[in-house]
Amino acid sequence: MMAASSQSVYTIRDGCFGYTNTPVLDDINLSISRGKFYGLIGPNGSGKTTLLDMLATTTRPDRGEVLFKNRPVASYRRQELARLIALVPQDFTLGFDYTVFDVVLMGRHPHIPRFSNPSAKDLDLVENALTLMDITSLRDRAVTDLSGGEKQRVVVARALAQDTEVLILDEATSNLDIRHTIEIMRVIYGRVVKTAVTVVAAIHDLNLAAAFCDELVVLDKGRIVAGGPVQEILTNELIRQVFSVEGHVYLHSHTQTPRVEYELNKNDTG
Amino acid sequence: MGRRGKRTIRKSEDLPGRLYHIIEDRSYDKDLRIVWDIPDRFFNWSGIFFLDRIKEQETRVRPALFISLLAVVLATTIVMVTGMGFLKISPAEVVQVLLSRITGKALPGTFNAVFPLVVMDVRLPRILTSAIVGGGLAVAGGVFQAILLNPLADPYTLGISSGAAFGAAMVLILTIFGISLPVWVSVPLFAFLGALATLFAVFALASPHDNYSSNTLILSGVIIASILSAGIGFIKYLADEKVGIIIFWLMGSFVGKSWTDVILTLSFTLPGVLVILYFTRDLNIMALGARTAESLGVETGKTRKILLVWASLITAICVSVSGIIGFVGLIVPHLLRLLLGPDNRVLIPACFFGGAILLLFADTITRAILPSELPIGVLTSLIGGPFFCYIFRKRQGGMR
Repeated sequence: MMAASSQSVYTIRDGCFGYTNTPVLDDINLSISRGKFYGLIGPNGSGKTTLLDMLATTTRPDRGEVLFKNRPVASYRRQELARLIALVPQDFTLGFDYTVFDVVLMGRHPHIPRFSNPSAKDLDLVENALTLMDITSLRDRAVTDLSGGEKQRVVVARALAQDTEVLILDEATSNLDIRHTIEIMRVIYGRVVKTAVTVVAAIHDLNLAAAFCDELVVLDKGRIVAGGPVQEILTNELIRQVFSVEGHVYLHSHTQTPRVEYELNKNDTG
Repeated sequence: MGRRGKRTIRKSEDLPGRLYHIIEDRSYDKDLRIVWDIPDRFFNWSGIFFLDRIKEQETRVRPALFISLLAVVLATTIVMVTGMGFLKISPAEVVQVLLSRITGKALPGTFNAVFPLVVMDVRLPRILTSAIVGGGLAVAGGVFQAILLNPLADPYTLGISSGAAFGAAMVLILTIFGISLPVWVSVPLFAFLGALATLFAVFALASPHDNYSSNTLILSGVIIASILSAGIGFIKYLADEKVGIIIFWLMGSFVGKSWTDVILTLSFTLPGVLVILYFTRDLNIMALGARTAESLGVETGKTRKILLVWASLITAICVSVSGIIGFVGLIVPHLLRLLLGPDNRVLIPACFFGGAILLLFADTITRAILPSELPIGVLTSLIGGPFFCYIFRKRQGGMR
């Protein structure tokens, strides 16, 4: 199922980060291997976004170090990293009324020298990303006029057009209907399998995470509480401990991936 | 319902190898437009200068055509308005004077001997100063709007005008305390120092921790500006009957501008505009938000700082030379964005020419058309304000 290569993409040692004394992330030790789909799960405020920012190198840890491909992140130039790592942020801005095409083409920014025109390859990648995200028909529309889900797909398309080895997704499917959610996850899974792209994605829907990810990293109160293959991590105890709800994990008979069913008793006031 | 039109898009067969499309846009009753759609407009520098390769979209016009048109209009306007005034000089004669200065050839003996003097020493310095100030303010406005992600920002949003006004007012208070300096030297100098001090204060107040985010910057600007306004108010109170001088300066004027003013204004505006043009693509990317821009290889904090400092320097020198002239830095980038789209690589050069033309027109009205000189800041706000209201209203109606 997963690529055999186990090259290290990221190594975080003793990573700590905090906004003025309150630690957001504490004592993070994490190793990410090439060509795997990692799901980052944890309740709200557990530090998922900060950890993803650290992987996307837009945030540097206060203490500890982040190695990207066995080299400290600080030793890379900004543009070098932009050619290797793409980020789909949770709260994205689309400031002015650029067209969908323009915004997706912005994903090629680190690859196109200043004052140069995009090459045929750049345009191909943009067309491809538009098609994959099902937004070809929106290409000339202003991004400011789109619905939330359409904007989300534009932002994912932009990251796909960036054509990087690593894809960092922060709730990339949170605004989408179920059809586009599954489609986007399939496209991203396809990149992992076919071109050994490494994906780290924060996902709220545990079933979605279980269905598509190779490994799960569980964050709670700024600490990594568990990490490993999905089947080993996703248990009734973990769901109770981390998410404070009762859940029942079982193996789906058809796909052989874990599924979660929650206790949804509307009369139980606790 | 502006953008939602029925469109058919098909690939063009006659231009193989490139992604040309033909769009038939039937969203408007008026006319059926067939336009060339160039997907790489966004990154295409050459596209800006080769007319046939430019996408045309609804209200958007061809950038190259528009920018060259603006440049031609500016050049023509400069020649035309130089001839206007108490002493009428024909455009042909103006051109003759200019050519003789450039080539060094003597004018024919029949030529009115006063004309070269009026053109070169009286009118042209003032005209060029107003054009450069207009262009500079519009470019600065465009940069502030793009960085603060706010189409209603202008060069004065960070309180630079208040700083300059405070500096200029300080000169007055110094003369009251008996320290007299020649006004034409000290007012621009103090205004410039005041503007710079404000810039430093705003940057010091806005923490660099969040890469100078829009809200922090705007808030810092508002805080500093309100403190300075109180200071200006106090100086006005102290100045008593001499308050007229400072009020007149605050409203802006190009009266008596010399070649020194032209060179002074240009010495900051020209490098500033060039630096800004260098970063225009990064400015586009920053519309996606600081984090995304960072992940796309733009050093957001550094770029923001460079652009803000240069836009502020341009504003500071413009205000120091001419006083506070409102609306040019707001309206010109705003209107041009509606016409040309948000791509700063097109917008910024267009802003320069557009701002120059607008302020040149306004200055000509007060200099040569009105019976007596009116402060230009008053004129731009009186004409610009209502016009802006009209556009703002119309845009709202057309949008949704």
